[in-house]
Amino acid sequence: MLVSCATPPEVKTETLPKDIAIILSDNSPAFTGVLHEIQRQYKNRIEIFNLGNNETMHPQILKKIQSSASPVVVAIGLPAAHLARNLSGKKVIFCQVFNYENEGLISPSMKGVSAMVPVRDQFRTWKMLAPGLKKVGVITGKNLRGLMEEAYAAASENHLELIHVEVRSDKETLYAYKQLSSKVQGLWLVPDNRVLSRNVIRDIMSYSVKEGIQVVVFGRELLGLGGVMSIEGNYADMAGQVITRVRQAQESSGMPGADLLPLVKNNIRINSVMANRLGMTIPSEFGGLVYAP
Amino acid sequence: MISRQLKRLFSTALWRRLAQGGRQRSLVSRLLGLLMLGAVVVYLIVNVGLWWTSTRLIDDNLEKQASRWLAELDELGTPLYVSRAHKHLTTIDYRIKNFPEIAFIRYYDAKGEKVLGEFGESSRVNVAPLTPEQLERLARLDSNSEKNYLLERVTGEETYLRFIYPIRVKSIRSDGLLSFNLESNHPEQVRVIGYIDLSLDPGYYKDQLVRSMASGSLVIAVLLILAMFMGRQLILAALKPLTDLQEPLARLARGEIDVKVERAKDREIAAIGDALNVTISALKQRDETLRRIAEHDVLTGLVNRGLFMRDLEKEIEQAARDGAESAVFFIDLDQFKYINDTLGHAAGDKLLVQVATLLKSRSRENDVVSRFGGDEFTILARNVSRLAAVEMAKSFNHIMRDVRLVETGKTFSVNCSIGVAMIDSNRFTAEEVLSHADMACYSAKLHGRNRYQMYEPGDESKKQMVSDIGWFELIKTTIAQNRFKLFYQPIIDVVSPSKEGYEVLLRMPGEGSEFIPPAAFLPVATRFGLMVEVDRWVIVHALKSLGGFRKTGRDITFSINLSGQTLEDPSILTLIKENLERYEVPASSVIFEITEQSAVSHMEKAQHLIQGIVALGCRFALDDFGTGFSSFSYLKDLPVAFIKIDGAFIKNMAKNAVDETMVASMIQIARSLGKLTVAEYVQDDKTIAMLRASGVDYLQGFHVGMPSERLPSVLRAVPDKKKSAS
Repeated sequence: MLVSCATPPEVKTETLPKDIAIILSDNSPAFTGVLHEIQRQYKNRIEIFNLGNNETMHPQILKKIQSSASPVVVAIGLPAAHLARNLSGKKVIFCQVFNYENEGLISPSMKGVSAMVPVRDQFRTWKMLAPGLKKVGVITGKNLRGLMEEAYAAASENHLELIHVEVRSDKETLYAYKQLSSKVQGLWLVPDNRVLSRNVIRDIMSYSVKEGIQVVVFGRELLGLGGVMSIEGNYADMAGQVITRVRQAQESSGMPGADLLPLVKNNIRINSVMANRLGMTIPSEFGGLVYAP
Repeated sequence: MISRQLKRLFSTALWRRLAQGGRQRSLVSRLLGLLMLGAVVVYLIVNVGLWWTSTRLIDDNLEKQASRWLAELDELGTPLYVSRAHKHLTTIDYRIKNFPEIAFIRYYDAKGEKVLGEFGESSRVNVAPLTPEQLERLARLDSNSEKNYLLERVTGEETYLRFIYPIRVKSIRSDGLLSFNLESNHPEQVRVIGYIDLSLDPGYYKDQLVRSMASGSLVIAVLLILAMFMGRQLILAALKPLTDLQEPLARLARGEIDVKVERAKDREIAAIGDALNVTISALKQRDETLRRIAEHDVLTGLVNRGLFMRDLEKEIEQAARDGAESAVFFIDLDQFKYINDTLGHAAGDKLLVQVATLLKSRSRENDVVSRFGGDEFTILARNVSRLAAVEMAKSFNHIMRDVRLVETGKTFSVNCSIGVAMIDSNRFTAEEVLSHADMACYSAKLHGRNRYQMYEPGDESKKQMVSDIGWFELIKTTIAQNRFKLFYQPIIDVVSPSKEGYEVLLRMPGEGSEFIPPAAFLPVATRFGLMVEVDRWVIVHALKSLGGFRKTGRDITFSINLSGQTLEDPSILTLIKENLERYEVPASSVIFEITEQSAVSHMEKAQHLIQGIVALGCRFALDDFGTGFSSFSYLKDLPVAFIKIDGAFIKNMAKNAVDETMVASMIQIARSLGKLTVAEYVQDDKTIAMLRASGVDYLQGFHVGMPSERLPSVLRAVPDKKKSAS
C-alpha cells in the first residue's frame, strides 16, 4: 500500500517529559484536531492558550506564555506562530502553517512540522492513478521556494513536467489557470490561502470539469466539486511529529533537525465518478481509497 | 283625406326624422363611431403602455445585462492588474464590438485615479473620472450583495447609464484551507484592486424600441382595423333585426299602412315589431273609421254625396262599357221643413233615420242609397230597366205614404217627390245625370208633390229645368264677370238719425237698364249651391265700397246678408278678415245679417264661424225674426246684436192689433236680452210712430229709404213722436 502506514516515533521513556504550552490560533477543526491528538499522545501537563478572534488579548496572552514555566511552546496555525515568534527564551514548534517561508517563521529557536503530505507521495500516487499524466500545473503565491523545489524534484522523479505560475490574487489565479489549462493535463491545487477564494476554487473546479483537467486537491470536500483525488495530512501523524520535535527540543539546548519535519502519514481519497469521467482505471490496490461524493 | 289624417298622425318629430332617414345619423354609424373611438383609445393605451413597459424593461434589462457585462469585464480586465503587457486586452475590444449599446469601458487603479485601460467609443464621451464621493459610496458597497456597483444616469447630449464596479480580490484567511469548507461562514479577506467604469447607451435600445414599436403599432393598427371590420359586421348582424324595421317604418311614415313588420327572433325587437303591427292594425281600423266617416252620413249611416258621386261615375263608365241600364232616383221629402220647424231638429233627425232605413230596406244589396243633403236622398239602382225604375219609384212613393212620425201625441205623415234619370251611356257626366234626376224631382214637386217624375228631355218640365240651368249659368257668369250690382237701403237710427247705416242688397243686371230682383235668382243659386260664391262676391265688393265711402269721411255702417250655405264655409272668416284689412274698414262698422231660419238650421256648424266673426269685431243681426217657431229659445244662444223683426209683422201692425202686440213683445224681449231691434217694411209715418212708441231702435223700409245704387247725400228725416202721433 502506497499510503504511508508508518507509526509515529516512540517517545523515549528515559527522557522525563516536561510541561509544554500550546498556543491555539482558534477553534478551527484543523487546529483543534491536532491539539486533541497532542493532548492524547503527550502525557505531561499541557498549558493551552487559545487566541480566539480577539487580537487585543494577544499581548496579555504573550505575557502569560512568556512567564510560563514551559520552555517549549507549540504554535498551531499561523496566528499562533506569529505570536510565538515574539517569545524570548522559549523554543517554538509550529504546525498547520502552509506558507511559513513567506512569513519568515524559521529561526534557530523556531522550527515546524509540515502542514502538507510530502509532494513526492502526492505525485507518485497521482502517477499511479493516471499513468499517462505528463504535464502538471500549480499556481501559488510568492515565496514558496522550498515547497516548489520539493515539487519539482518530486515531479522529476515521477516523470512529470511541472509548470508553476506565481500569482498575487484569487482573480489572477483564475486568469492564470485559464491561460495554463491548455498546456497541462492536471492541476495540483495547493492550499495557498493568499491566492484562493471560495469563488475562485469553485470556478477552477467547474472549469476543470468542463475542460477535462484532472485536479488533485488538498481536502476531501473538494472532491464533490470535481477533484479527482484528495491528499490530506493526518492529525495524529501531525501531533506525533510535533511531540517528536518537542522532545528533541527538550533534550537539547537548541532546536535540532530540519526546519520542517515532514509528515509520514496521509489520507487519500479517489473520486471514482470523476476518475471514470476522465477515463481512468483505478488500480486494485486503491480499492479501499475509492470515494464517491 | 285619409292620407292627410295619417300624415297628421305621423307628423311628430320622430316620425318626420324617420321619414327623412338619410339626413339623420344612424344607430349603426353611432355604434361604429363608438367602436372606432374605443379602438383608437385602446390603440393609444396599448402604445403608451407598451412604451412605458418597454422603457422600463429596457432599463431593467440594461441593468441585468450590465451585471453580466461587469462580471465578464472583471475577468477580461484581469491582465490590466496582472502584468504590464496588455496583449490579452484586445479580447475586450473584440468582445464588445458587436454590442453597440456599450458606450465605453474604463478600468481604474485601486485609488480610482489612474485609468489603466479604456475601450469602446469613450473618446466622444465626456465623462469625468471617479470622484471622491463616488469612491466613498463604492467603499460602502457590500461585496456579497447582488447589486455591488454604483448606477448613475449621465445626462448630456446623450444619456448614459453608468455602472461603476469595484474589482475585488479575495483570499481565504490564513491557513483556512487546511480545514477547507466551502460552506464555511468565515469571512474572506477582500481587497479592491481597481474599478470598472461601464457606460451603456440606452438610446440604442430606445431607437430599436421606436422601430419595434412603429412596426408593432402598425401590426396593432392592422389588427384593430381587422377587429373593427369584424366588429362592424357583428354590429350590422346584431342590429339587422332593428334595421329591418327601418323600411316598414319609413313606409308607415309616408302614410302607407299596408305594411307588415316581420317578427324578429330577438325578444326585444320582436316586442317592437309586435307593437308596430298592433299600431298598424289600429291605424287600419282608424283609417277604416275615417273612411266611413268621410264617405257616410253620420246621422243615417248612408253613403254621402261624395261617395255617391264616385259610384255614379263608375256606373256611367260601366254602362258605357256593357250597355247596361241603371237609374238614379232623387228623393226629396215634401213636408220635412214643416216637421223640422214644428217639432224641432230631433224629430227631423228621427224622421230622416226612419226614411233612410226604409229606403235601404227597399233597395237591393248592390244599389247605392245616399243622403244627399238635408232632406234629399239619392239612390243608384244598378241594372234596372226604365220600366223597373218606374216601378221602384212607385214603390218608394207608396212605402213613404206609410211612414208615420209620432211626436208629442201627434201623428205626422210624410210624402216624397221623386225624380228619376236613366243611365244607358256615358253621354252625360255624373253631375248632369244627377241634375237630370234633381230637375225631374223639381218637376214632380211642381206637379203637386208626392209623386215621381221621369226625366224626359223635351217635355214641359224640361223647360223649367232648362230655365233653372240657364239661371245657374247666368249666376256663374255674372260672378265671373263681376256684373252684379250692390244697392244700399238706409237703416235709420231712431235716436240718432244722422248716423248712417245701410243694408247691402244684391241686384243682377237684366236686359237694358233693368235689374233682376234677388227673388228670381237666389233660389236657383241656393238650389245649385252657388250661395257661397254669391256671398263671397258680395262681401268683397261691399267692404271695398264701404272702405271707399268711409275714406270720404262718412261714418257708415253696412249690413251684409249671409246665406245658410256660407255659414258652413269656414274659409269665409279669412275672407272677411283679409278684406277688412285690405280696405281699412273697422269691423265695428260691419253687420252681418243671417236669417232666423238659416241660423237655426245651421246652428251647430255656424256657431264657430259666427263666434270667429264676432271676435273680429263685426256684429250680427238676426233677419226675418218672428217667422220661425223656436226663435226665442235660440235667441239667447246666438251672439247677435240686432234683431230685425220680419216685415210681415210690421206692414200690418198699424191695422192689426195682434201684429202690433207681437211687435211690441218682440221689441221688449229683445231689449230685455240686451239686443237692438230693427223694424223692416216700414211703410208709413203711423207705423213709425207706433214703433217708436214700442221702443224700436232702427227703422228700415221704402217709407224710410228706397234701395239705391248710390248712397243718398242726406238721410230722410224721421218724424218725431209728437208729429207722428198727430
